[in-house]
Amino acid sequence: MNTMGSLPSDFAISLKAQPSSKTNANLPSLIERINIERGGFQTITEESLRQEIAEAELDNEDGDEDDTSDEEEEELDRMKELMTSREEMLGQIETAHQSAMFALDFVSLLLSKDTPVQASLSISPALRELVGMGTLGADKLHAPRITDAQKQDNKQIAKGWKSQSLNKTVDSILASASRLEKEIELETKYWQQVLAVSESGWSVCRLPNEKHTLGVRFGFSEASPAFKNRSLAALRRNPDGSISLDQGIVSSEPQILRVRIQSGNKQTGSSAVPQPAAENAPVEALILQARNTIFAEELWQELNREARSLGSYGVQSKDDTLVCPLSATKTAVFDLVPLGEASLTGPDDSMAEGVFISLNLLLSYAHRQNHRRRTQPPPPISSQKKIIQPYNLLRFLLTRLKHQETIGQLNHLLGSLCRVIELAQVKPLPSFKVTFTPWTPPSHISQAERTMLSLIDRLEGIATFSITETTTITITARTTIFPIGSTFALSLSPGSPLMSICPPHPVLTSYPALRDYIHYFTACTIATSISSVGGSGIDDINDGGQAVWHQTPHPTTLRTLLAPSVTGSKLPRTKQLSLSIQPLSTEPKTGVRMRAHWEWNGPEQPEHGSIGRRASFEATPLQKEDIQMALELEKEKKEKEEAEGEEGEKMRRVKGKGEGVYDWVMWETEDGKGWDEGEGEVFRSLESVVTDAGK
Amino acid sequence: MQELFLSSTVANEDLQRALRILQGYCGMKPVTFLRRRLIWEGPRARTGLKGVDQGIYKRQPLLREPHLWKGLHEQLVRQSYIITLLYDVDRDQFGQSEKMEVQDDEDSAKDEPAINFDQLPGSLRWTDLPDPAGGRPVSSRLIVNIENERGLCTILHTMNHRLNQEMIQESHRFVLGNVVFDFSRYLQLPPSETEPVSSIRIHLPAYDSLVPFDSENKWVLTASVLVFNGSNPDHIQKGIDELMTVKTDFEGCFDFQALERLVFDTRVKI
Repeated sequence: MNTMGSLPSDFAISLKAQPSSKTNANLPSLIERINIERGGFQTITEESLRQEIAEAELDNEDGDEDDTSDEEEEELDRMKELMTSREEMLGQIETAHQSAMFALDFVSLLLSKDTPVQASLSISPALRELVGMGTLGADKLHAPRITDAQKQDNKQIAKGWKSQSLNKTVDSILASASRLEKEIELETKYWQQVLAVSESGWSVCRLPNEKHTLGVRFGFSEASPAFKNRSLAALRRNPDGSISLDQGIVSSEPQILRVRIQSGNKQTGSSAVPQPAAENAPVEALILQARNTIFAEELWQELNREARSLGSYGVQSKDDTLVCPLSATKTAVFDLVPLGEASLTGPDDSMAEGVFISLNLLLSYAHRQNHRRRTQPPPPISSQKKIIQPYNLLRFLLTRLKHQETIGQLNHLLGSLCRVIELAQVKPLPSFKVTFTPWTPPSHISQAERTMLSLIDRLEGIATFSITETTTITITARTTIFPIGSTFALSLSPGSPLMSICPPHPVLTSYPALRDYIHYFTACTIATSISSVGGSGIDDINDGGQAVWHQTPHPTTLRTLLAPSVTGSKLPRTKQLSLSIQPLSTEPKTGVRMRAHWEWNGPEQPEHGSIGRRASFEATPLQKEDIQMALELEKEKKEKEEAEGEEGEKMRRVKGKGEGVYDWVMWETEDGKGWDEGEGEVFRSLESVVTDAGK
Repeated sequence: MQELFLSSTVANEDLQRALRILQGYCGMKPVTFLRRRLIWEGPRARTGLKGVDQGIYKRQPLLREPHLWKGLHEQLVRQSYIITLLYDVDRDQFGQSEKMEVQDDEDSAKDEPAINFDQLPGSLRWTDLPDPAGGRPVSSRLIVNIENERGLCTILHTMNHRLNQEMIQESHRFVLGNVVFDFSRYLQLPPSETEPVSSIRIHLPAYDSLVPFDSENKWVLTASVLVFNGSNPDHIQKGIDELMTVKTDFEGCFDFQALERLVFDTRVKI
């Protein structure tokens, strides 16, 4: 039924010939026919089939009788059927004709190449115009020589290739899966380390050049631009997943600033130089090392820059080092050394370490100043150029050392003066006090800056020296940074008689000037205190007994008038007593000497013929005793001088009747002892000397 | 002195994020401050303006910057302006009166002295109408800023200025190079029962009772550059370049604009 493809499948009439009973009743076609007729096997049973057969036989007998009544109707139907069938047949014939003509054209075209004359007879003109003669060719080919066996072979080969490719695919997928797994492992490890770095406080960011790589910022945000540019290092992943720090082209070996202290030409101390981090150290240690290196490099650069302006304080640049005198005896030598460099140790190590730490702190403080400066609202844009001053690193250090030196000097000065006066048994005993109070900066600055400021700014020490009850001098020592130096402001207690005698200069700018003034001032004070003991006018002539000394226009000199009866001459004579205090220095000791010197004043000389000053020994009975003692002491002194480290107090007596010199001497040794135990018990007080002088 | 500036707005919810962005851009933490802005209105006259009373030079010989007062005088003689006085305050100065009410009334009321503004150091700020937008992509105006001066209220009284109103300004400030970034919000004081209007308040109400001036509670972000000499084209160009860099850097984040000049009009309307 469905063999005529152009007919719709529900076309009930079949144009095929009625199948004879002899046709091949193969089962599939039978089943198909039954399905179409009866719509399946479900409704069919044996019984119903037998019934149908029986009915069909009856119908055949009956059917022949009904034929004639239906003929007319059937004829009409058959006419219609015939007409439609005829039409269809004509169509089919037409189609067949067309197909045949196409076939003819095709064959003619094919033949037109080889036998154009014959082909042109049978080809249709339309095709000839459309395509042209001889445009189709045919060749006879040999039959493929591929035998069956070969075909089988090929099939096998194809199968083999397919399976091989599949295997390869599987393998490659497995390989990439395992590689991916490994990558993930490595990446996880890398990211864990990056997270560890970030959590320990380092700032991790993207590199501006390679946007896909992370880097760590280890520099300082307030450093100068040259160092800021180098403060980024890439965190790269090693093949084994660990992290490595890549500082790029400018990476340098780790370095640190080294401070060495020299006394004379010998090295006596050095700051510590740590060992470099090992190759396999954790990356945080490497980052820390990089940060310390960049800090040290910046410190070195800033020190050198500052040193150019500190030449007047003895700072010099020699070879690769900076030389900076710290005090009279010690010099600091700075240089930048790689980590791990060996260095000698010595007694001044702590000083070197202290200098190192303070320079580091000062650089951080300078960074803090930078931050403060740039976060304040800027001045308006104008033609004023901004000059960037070098940082003050060495300057603050030297200022602080200068201040300490000044305090020490004040202590020394006043201390030795007090000791000398004590030796001379001047009553009341003088006293002194030196205080240094650090400045307290205002509280709106941070604690760190306040600490720094109190160490480097407003360095002031106050010394008070009380010689008598009425005379107290106050010295305010101020150490300034620009320029480095100490100035001394002096003020006297208002009730002192010395206000009119030798008022202090309000400001002194050098220590020697201060020392000289203080010595002079002390001498004046003592002289004044002697002179105030006793009487008033110059007419008060001394008649034996206690001499009365009067002041002269020269504050350290006193004068007394002696009656003729004492001196043995006809007229009253004047005698002068002058006090002076001088510093002494012989290598390596320093000391201070107070000298009382008395002599006759005026052209008259005593009749006993004093040869004059410093002539032979001529002694009054009282003096003889002293001279003996002096001679003994001088012997002792010579013995002692041969031995080492003598200390002590010496007395010297000089000749001339009624004239003389008496010294009280105080040596400062390293351990601060004034005089030795076995020596110098015999000395005289100022009073007794003065009394003597008055005779 | 010339001020070149650009403005933008930031919503209150976005403030913290904006502060963090600027913190990273400028590399510093913001400086936060609260200020009282006392707004004084000049005399309502077109002619016969006296400007700055010349007697101040005698009364206050310790004026820190007399040349600025001269500049101000020149401006005030030709036109009457609104002048702002700025006084810094602490957060804990707000709500003092309420705290005092909680405590014993009698003693504390006697002890607490009235805030005498003349004794406090304050700043005087005068700004002119911005220049018409002629080729410059930024707003530009003359400004006189007299800082850290005392006795400003008295001076303004003698110049016939009257206190108009008071506002509280809350600001966060950043600095980068020559550019100052300022986040500001203006808050109004609620009307007070105890103190008369148009006088300087002695007690500041609690901080929470302050009402934002802007109904949407927005913050104004201003980027400004000061130029000392407004007639020097090189300096002005340098300032403009810096502001333009800021504008392009923040494109997509903050929209910096040179607003319409009349927004900043400080002339007294007669």
